Amino acid sequence: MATTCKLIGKTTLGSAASSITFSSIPATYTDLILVCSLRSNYTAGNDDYALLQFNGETATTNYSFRTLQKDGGSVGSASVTGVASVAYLRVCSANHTASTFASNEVYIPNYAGSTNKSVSTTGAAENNGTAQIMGAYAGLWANTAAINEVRIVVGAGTNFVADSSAFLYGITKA
Amino acid sequence: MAKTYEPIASVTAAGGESSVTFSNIAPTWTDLVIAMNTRQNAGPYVQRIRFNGDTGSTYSFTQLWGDGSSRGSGTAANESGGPWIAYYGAPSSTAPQITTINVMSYANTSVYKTLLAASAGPAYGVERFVALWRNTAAITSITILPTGASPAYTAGSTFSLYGIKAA
Repeated sequence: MATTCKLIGKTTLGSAASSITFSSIPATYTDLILVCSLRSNYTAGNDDYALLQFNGETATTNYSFRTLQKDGGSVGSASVTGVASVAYLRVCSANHTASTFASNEVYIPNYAGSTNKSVSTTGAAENNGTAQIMGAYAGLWANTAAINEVRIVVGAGTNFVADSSAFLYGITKA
Repeated sequence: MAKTYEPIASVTAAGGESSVTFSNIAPTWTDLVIAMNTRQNAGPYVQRIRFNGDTGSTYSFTQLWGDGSSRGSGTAANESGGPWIAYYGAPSSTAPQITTINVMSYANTSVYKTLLAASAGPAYGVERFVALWRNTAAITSITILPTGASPAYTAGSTFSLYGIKAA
């Protein structure tokens, strides 16, 4: 029996960078799982976010998502269009507790298929204070192309800080 | 290193299935993961999970949901037929509903069985569930069921079962 959950790519930043990219993703697997730990240099607000883009597409037209999130205040839900991302990833800002990185997991089924791509994400930016945020997202990339590149782009800040990391796994069904 | 995410079985719907069952699940692993990518032919689009064919009121669950504007939570005790693992669904005209389910300690005969489910449908909403099956039997079969007046999965819906083994 084959073992799946194979590591396709990994990045741990040695210095600040504005994005993390996994390219040349083979169409070998059934689904993808992206796990990332993110913190940025954003100082103007409580928390930051990151964009998740496929195949280098930076236009907003084909991306949309629905959210369920809690940011220390009330729980909210929104339907989001006009953003060049299939979901928001949560990112700790420079104002969060030092040495704390936000955790995110993204499930991307049928990434190499010929249909539009749905994604499911869960993320949280914890803070020893009042600016925690956690969110769950249902995203759509209305593009039938096989996903061969996954890019994580910092949102409000200018860079992810060193030690931010991302791991991409491939899952193969029986 | 322990093997993990070992593929146990998978089903691709031909269309019209009113349930999908994984049977004869061996007690080989520590936990189970189910990954589903589904569309349904008609609403309402609630989906349930059932263990060992138990249709009794031995289940309970707690739900957190948001549809893009409204949001809320709910609980159900003594639920019959299996707990919900997805509330929003995907009709055939939209992108599929993604649901991942973690079933913990499924073969441990000393504990009741718990699960966590994450479901996301870009067309309708996003949800999270925690559920309990008040039974200590090892889980040997898992059935996934759409609900509704004439519930069925559409062709191309996929269901994959994986085993997770502790180190």
